[in-house]
Amino acid sequence: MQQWLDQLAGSGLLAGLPRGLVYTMGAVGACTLVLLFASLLAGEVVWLERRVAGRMQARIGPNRVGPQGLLQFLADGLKLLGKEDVIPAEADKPTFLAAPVIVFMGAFAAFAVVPFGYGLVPADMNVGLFLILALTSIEVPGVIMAGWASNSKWAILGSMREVAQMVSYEMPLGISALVVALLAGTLNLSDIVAQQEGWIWNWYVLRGPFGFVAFFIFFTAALASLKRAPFDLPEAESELVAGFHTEYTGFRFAVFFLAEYSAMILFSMVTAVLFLGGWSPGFPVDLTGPAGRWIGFAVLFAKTAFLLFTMIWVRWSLPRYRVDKVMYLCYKVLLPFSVACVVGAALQVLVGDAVGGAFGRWLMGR
Amino acid sequence: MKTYLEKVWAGVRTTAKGMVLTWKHFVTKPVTVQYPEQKTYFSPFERGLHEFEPDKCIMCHLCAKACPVDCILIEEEGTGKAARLTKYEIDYSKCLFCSLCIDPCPVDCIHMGQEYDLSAFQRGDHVKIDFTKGDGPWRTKRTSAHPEAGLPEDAGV
Repeated sequence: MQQWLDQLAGSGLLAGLPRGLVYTMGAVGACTLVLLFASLLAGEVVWLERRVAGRMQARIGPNRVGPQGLLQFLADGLKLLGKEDVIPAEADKPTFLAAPVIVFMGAFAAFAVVPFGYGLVPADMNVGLFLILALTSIEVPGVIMAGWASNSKWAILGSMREVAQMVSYEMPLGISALVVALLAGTLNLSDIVAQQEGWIWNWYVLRGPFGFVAFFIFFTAALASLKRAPFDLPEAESELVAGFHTEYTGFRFAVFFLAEYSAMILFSMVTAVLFLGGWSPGFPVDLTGPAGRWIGFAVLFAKTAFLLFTMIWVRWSLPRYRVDKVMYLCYKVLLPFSVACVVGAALQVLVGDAVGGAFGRWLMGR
Repeated sequence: MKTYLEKVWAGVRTTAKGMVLTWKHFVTKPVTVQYPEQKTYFSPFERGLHEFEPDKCIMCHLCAKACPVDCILIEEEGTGKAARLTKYEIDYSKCLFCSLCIDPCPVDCIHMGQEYDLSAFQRGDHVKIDFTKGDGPWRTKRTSAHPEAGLPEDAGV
């Protein structure tokens, strides 16, 4: 990104401009592109969810607005914009107003380090994986603020459940991501993808049993921190009305909704990057060229779409967990298994190096 | 330790089982009938909008007398053999589609039809229908709950 901006600043129309201004413009441009990508795709994921849910219940689902109902999210968004923006009289107003912004920021900011294709990274950082785990945790204070400021028992109960669940599931999430970090030896997401290029068995999900188990643990923990069913206790419609966003209406509710679905896209992309080889299609092909990187983007998009479909599929298959069972699953099942995976992955790296080194020396000796 | 691992395995196995079940539903055809374009099957005994044959009617008023909600209004000109039907109006804001007007008719000129879509954009529209005027669906079809229609396959009698 920075190299590309440097090239741009050194030539053409932008030659006379100060370097700082070019960087700022580049940042704003990239931000707008990613925002458009995330919010439009989030709208389409809502449509996909309703269509898939319909088919799983032998219905059809929304198919009236636009071709096959693809523009349904625009109609829904316009409807929400037209609603009255209610702020409860007893609400803590500044906190109430800030909460949706913080939740959306947490979901959206992490897109900055996701590699969409070779070189198509808004910010290529050495700490990319860590940054994603850190930024997605920003959602937690936002949810606490929403629940507390609403001054409603449903909202506070929902946000308490949400915080307990998200803070707990950060652990298996982070530890199973650590398996990939160990196997790859880096936290840079572009480098992690680069190491999975080549044939399909180079993907970390298929490179040894520990990556395979870690993939499922990561996906489950991601579902839990996304508040998706079967971990949708914070929003549990049948118990808590709508959980922490009970008191939100109109556009503020739409922002919460958008944040939820952008976080779904984000976690699907991160899972695809970490375990399913990112933009690598599963056979050796050079996708580093100016056209190839867009093919890589399409490949990553297909993997993301598959994971999004799986999330929706899980939601319409499994019933909601009981509160204590959610905690049981986290602390007594996912956490021990993910720690075992980390130990195993460390051994795999150690033994793999030793065996590989011996094999190399044997080859050299010949 | 053994029961713990068994529990974990049972969790994984039942999750997979549930997912396979929903996948089977996902690939089946939806049962939805998309109403304005497609219409569902009706029995010949469906009690929808009436069908009326004004040429047959002998103005005996038996249907109007049988009606429990008095929704049939009949007007005629002349007497005896010169009598002529000028109005045969059913008020569909009252009619309860009980089919009691069908049985007493000595000449079989009124039947229950298949038409059920009585919705309209204005409140006054379609509420009262004069069967001697216009050419709505009641003038053309003979798909009524008449003994000649025969029994449908799923009648269960």
